[in-house]
Amino acid sequence: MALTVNRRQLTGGLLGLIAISAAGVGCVMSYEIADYIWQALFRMLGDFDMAEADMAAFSDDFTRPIDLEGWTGWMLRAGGLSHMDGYLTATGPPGVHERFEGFDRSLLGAFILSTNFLDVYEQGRGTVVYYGPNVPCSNPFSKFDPVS
Amino acid sequence: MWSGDLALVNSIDAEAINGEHFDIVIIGSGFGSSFFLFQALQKSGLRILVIERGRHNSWEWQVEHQDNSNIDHNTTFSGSSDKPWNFTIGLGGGTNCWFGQANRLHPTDFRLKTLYGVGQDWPIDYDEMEPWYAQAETIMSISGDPELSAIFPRSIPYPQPPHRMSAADRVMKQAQPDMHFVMPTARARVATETRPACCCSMRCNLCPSNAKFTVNNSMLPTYQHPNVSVCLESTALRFNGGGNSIQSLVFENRGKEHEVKADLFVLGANSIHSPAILMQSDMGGGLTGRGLHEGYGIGVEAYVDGLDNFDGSTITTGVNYSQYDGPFRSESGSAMISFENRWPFGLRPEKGRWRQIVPLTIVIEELPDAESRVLPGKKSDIPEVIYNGPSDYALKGVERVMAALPQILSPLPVEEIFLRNRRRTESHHQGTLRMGRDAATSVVDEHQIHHRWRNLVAVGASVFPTCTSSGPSLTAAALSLRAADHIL
Repeated sequence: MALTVNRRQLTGGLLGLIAISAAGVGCVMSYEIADYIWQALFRMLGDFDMAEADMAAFSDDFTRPIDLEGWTGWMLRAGGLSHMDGYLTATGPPGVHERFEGFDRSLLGAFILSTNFLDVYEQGRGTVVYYGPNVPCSNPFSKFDPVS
Repeated sequence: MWSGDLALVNSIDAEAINGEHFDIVIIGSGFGSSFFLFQALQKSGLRILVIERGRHNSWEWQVEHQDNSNIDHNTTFSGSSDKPWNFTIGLGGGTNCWFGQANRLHPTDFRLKTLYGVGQDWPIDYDEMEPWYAQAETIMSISGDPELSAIFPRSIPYPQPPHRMSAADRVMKQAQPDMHFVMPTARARVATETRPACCCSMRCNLCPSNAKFTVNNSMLPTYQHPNVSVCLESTALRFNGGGNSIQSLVFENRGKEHEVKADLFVLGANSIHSPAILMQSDMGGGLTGRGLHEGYGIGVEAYVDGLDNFDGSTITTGVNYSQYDGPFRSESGSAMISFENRWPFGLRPEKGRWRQIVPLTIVIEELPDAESRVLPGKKSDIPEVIYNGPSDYALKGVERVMAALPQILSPLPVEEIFLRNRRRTESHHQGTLRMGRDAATSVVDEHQIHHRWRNLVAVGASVFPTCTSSGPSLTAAALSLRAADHIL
């Protein structure tokens, strides 16, 4: 059966496609990187309690030196919005997987360095507190045997 | 206007010394200059002037501003390559920003040409350097592994005990006791009179607890000595010479030129600016400025199964010498493998396996290339840097060490090894005033005295005739102690 499409229908269809794409892009760009950060941290660490002000301060400090206006930022937003981020971090296609994995690993490293998360995790209770970006003695895994 | 902590050193106004004569004028205040000054002060009565381009930025200032200097070093030279050349402008120079790794050079590093037919031999050997290494280690209170003496014979023990190894280091040490050691470091293992013990802050370029040796925390008395004057914010421009000696130095301070005279001049700016000052003085030529180089670094990670790492007591806990020396050096560079107690590429994302990683920083020996060089720039006192690397020798070293890593790391429960990056710089530029016995193949002699200008001594890593894969700081310090002791 032949499908007949007239000019008006074709134009309408194209305009509709553009509108849907624009809405999709707008939707992705309205998704905050801070939302991605918490989604990723909860995925990697499990649930934890943290004050909103501390969460916001950590997000701001962590993202400040990173350029998230380009392709990486767009991919993180799209991945977070579609809840595909876990898959993309673990086994996504080349070129995508590395961006998600690299961002997530840096995020996790910075979070564990600059909060008391490990104490809360080991004790199984408590609220996670953000110490700030430049605290001394920040490696929480370090051990310092007495020197004889 | 804030101009640094003038009160903490014997700061002198440039106007007050214009036309003055000193016994010694020292240019720069990094490792090379500071250790020369330290040794010079063991001889009584010498009147010494230090010309420093930057301010004195105290540790407190650096922590507050999260920067080692108020001057962007990139504005002091030009170049078409995007390769970074890092240094700190300010009192103490590179002692402010270094990470504190304090390896001695390997005995074979001094005899590369004789042993492997490449590069150059140094005009001195390990045995001659040993007492000066020991003295520099004492001054910096280096923490080190006594077992390193199997490779690096020592006359006295390390001043401080070694740091605590990480879980990965302990496995490696057990399996390779002759090749794997605790990294020697100027990050204090135990507190000294002027520094707390390192508490693993993981930001060594500006230690927030001030545990790493710097001029600021351990050598300021040298710059407060009554015989020493420090002229800050002063840029050395050119020497005036005649016959075989230099008579005076012209420097700029606050837009005005001044001139000072001396019996001995010590050139310790850095590997870019030291040769540039000679060229600006029409004292270049030969190999002056040629052979600019540094080690070629890569970042590697091994994912390990079930081994929770990072429980060492400082940022870098292990050093592995299994790829450091061998006949391969006739074809490809030596490699020093540092075992990191930090996570430059982040933690693992799998829950509960966050620290089952062994990050490595591997530095490969380079061969100095005369085409990598410093030239007089189009603008006065802004030299141009040309970089012609990395060499095939270094790149072959990367291939060799990556091929060898599965075997080297076999004691660990390795899942996979990743070459994560090729590091853009090791921040260790060197080699532009190389030392040697022959004026045709070097710029300064075995005592670091210029072959032509006999009252000019070059200090710092600019005198290194070859690269090695070890960091240069301890060797630069030891060389200066030796040179000052011989000359004065």
